[in-house]
Amino acid sequence: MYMEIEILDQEGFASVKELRFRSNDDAECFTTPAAVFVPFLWNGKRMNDDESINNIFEKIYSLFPIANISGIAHHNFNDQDFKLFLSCDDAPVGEPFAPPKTLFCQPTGFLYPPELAQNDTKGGDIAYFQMRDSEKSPVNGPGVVAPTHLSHIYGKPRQIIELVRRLRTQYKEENLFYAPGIADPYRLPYLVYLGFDLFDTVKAARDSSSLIYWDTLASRQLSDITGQDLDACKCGGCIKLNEILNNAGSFGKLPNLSGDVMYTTLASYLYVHNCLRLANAVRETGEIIKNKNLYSYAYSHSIHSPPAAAALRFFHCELASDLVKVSPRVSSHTIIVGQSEMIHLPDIFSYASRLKETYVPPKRDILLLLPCSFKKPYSRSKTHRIIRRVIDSHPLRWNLHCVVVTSPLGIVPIELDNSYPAKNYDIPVTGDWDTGERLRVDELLVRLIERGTYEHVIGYLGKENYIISDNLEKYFPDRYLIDEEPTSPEALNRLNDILNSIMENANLVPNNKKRTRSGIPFKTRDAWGVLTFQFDADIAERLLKDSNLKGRWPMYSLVDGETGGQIAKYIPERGMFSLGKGAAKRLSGISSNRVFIEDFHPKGTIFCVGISGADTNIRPLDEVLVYHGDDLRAIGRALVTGDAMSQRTRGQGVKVRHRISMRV
Amino acid sequence: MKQKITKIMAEIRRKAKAKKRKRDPKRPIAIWTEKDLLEGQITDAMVAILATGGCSWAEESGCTMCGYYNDTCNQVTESDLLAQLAVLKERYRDQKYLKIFTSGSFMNAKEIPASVATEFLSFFSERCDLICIETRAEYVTAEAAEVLAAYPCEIEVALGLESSNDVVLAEIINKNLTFERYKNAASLLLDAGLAVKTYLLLKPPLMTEKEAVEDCERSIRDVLPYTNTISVNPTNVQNFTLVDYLHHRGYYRPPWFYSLEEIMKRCMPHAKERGVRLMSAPSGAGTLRGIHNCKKCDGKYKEAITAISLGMVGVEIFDRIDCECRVKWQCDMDTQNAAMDFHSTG
Repeated sequence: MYMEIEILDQEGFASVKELRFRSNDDAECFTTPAAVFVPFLWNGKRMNDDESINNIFEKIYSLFPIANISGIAHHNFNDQDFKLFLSCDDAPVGEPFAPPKTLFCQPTGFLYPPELAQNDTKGGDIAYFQMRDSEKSPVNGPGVVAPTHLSHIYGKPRQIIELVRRLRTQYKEENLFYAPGIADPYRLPYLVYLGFDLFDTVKAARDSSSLIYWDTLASRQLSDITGQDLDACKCGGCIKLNEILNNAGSFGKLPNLSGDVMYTTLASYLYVHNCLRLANAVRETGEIIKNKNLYSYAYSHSIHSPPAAAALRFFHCELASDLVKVSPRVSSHTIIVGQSEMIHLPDIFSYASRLKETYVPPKRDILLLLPCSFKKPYSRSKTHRIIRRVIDSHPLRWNLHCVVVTSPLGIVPIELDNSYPAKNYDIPVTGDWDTGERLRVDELLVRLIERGTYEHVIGYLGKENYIISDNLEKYFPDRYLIDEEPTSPEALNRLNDILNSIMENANLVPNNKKRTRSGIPFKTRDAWGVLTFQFDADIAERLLKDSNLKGRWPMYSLVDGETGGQIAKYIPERGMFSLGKGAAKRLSGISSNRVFIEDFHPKGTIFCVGISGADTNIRPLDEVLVYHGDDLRAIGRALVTGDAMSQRTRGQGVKVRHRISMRV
Repeated sequence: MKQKITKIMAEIRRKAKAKKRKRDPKRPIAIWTEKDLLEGQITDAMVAILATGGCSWAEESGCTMCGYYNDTCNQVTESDLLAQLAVLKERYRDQKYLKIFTSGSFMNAKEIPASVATEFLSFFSERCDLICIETRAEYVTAEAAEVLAAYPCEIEVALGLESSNDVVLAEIINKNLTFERYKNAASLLLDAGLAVKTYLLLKPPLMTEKEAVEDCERSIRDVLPYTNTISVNPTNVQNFTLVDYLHHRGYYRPPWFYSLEEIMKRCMPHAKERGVRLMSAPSGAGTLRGIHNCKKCDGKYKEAITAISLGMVGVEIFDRIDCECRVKWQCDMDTQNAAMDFHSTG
């Protein structure tokens, strides 16, 4: 018997994993996020003898694909195995909790609270369960990583984020990350977002023992629950609770609680209900990951929970570089930045950091700062088309660089307006700029001005010009600010006048040369910016040198000046270039975006198992060159991160676009 | 024990030393009279705790739950101890049962010199029917046992074993004792004709409620052949101990009365069968730092435990107490192992 894990879907650290248990030719599988069922009050001495509850329990049991039957030994006192039972069989009739299949897993040593843990061979605060073949030695393959005392450190944001960092660095992602004892339906999306896959019904039991009812939106005391609430749920537990409370005629005050039997009965039916709620939340969360908007559910929990809010901030700020790595370069989902706090989201952070670090603005004389628009990409909005008309008809149009000022991205050079997330983000438009948003604009704008070759600047943000005016003044004493409403004829006329006066006073010659001195065709126009943003300046230069443009923006491609072979093609839907066969030669000797495979000639898809290594800069949906040793074998698109493709043993790694046979 | 725990304990002890209060070496720490069982009859028992230099092991390293080393004097001479004997004599009201305790071992000659011990025992053995002393197992030798056996009254030697599991002893309690060593000591005492009382710890630190119950139950079964009395001591949180450190940080909850009930119910028949007295005299019972349930039923449980320990009633008395907090205890029992934490719901 052994277990395989394949990662089907991913959003940041959250993932949908498919587990397969294989024994001989028999295979069973289920997907995470999933919850382990922990028996509570089952063999309790005073458990009521009601037959119907057995039936209800049997039913919930089948809802939990993974069953933890005997619990996990906390310490290894008697040299017994720590046991975690994972199973996806249906329960045998009449024996709801008997393990149909037993998988032993055993960590070594003791488990201690984090303050006492040394994390040496004797044991620490994280248990690592490896599958065992009954009494035989551990089976190779993925295991279950379970940090202990989570219920204790749950409320401590620093500790929980430090733990997440340790889990990520010490254990491969192809393990199951188990968060014992803390799952409830409200915080579940947040926990999954931090990267946990496996949960349990311990908190359901603990809350039930305190008579806490898990309602749809929040948990409430059972004494506050009315018959209507219970009717609305209709689960087996609620029907029973309704019966008891109705018979006692005591909604709102609970029936005679003097007896522990009564209390126990209520708690056990509550447990049934709470377990069902958790099972639903687990299922829903899995679906949310597929839609790539788990982050907003994680944030929505943080509104109710200050520790979670703090933890999310630490998570996004301190693990930013790790998160950026796993966030894809392209997404068709709109990223909704509903709160100012969410400016730290990895997709936004990664955009800003790429703009700061790799993006090089094209060599232009005039920087024109434009307002953002509701419609994306910007170039398709009415405002931008009106402004565009003035610009395109002006002789200085090739001397201009249009840059959109926006929140929360800061600034978006217009050539990037098809790229993610510039193409698809949404924020509440209020017209107020908070400090965080302004800081980001300042930071990126200064960087842009310092890297660019601008001699003049025009602020065309209408009323919002105040955001940028201070910064511009530092660099351009004679900055132009057009404060009129951007689409008004006054503003458009002023823009035209200003461009005219710049042309006259500064002796600017309209730029319409064919090629720059370095051999890069001038009219590649926006390709330069896109390529530096997508790769870096070195690769952009290699691809653009002595190449020609073919087609009309945005449906165009780069072809080799001599052979006419395709180097790269711009894909407007992605806002990026995909590499053609012609890029192979030009990119020989680069030290990024490389994937190394075993000795085979790939076609179609390259699976992770055949990949021996990859550059760590690779993010999902990046363009990659596939090598075996010095042999370039293919050009394609990464489906997962560079780290993931070298570590994972299952799943797809690279989608091949061009098969190439070339020694470099 | 793990280095990190050793380090934390050393730090705690350093703090304890700085805050230790000065005591008069000429007066015992405490003297009181309580009810106990003597030959099946409830009698008054006098308890005296002598001020001594304290436990030799506490000096060296110490147990994780023990804060008795705070109740010691640094300089106690022979004449001081004799002065304490004088106080004892003065307060003695002809109780037939005497317990002379120290915050260490009565049989450690460095704590109580042999001559002084003789003074104490020879005076009281002529007046009492039963004298109980406490000691660590390492001070029990065949010779010492013979000396004790020679006194005219019965002498009961109480040994602290805490758990019969060597891993628990070494890694969790830091007792510096093995079950084997205890068995040797107990056999020596029994062979010499002395009575043996064994202390077992209910819920050492770093254990879940369920593990604690299982460990205690197992220990009771293991020690039955080597003892006349088993006293189950539910851990209470004493100042300047690892237990206190953990309790302060939320990693330790003293045991529930329900756990003690469970143990008593399961073990009482076996104890009776063997003629062993199974009792418990919890300290700090019903407080947040001692064994407790909820405020509603703490009092009832305290009474029940005392009544059972004195043999007045059987364990069935527990069934007459009915409190809603039982489900919370059940929850701790059911979930802590699975959740790998020490979280308690009540």
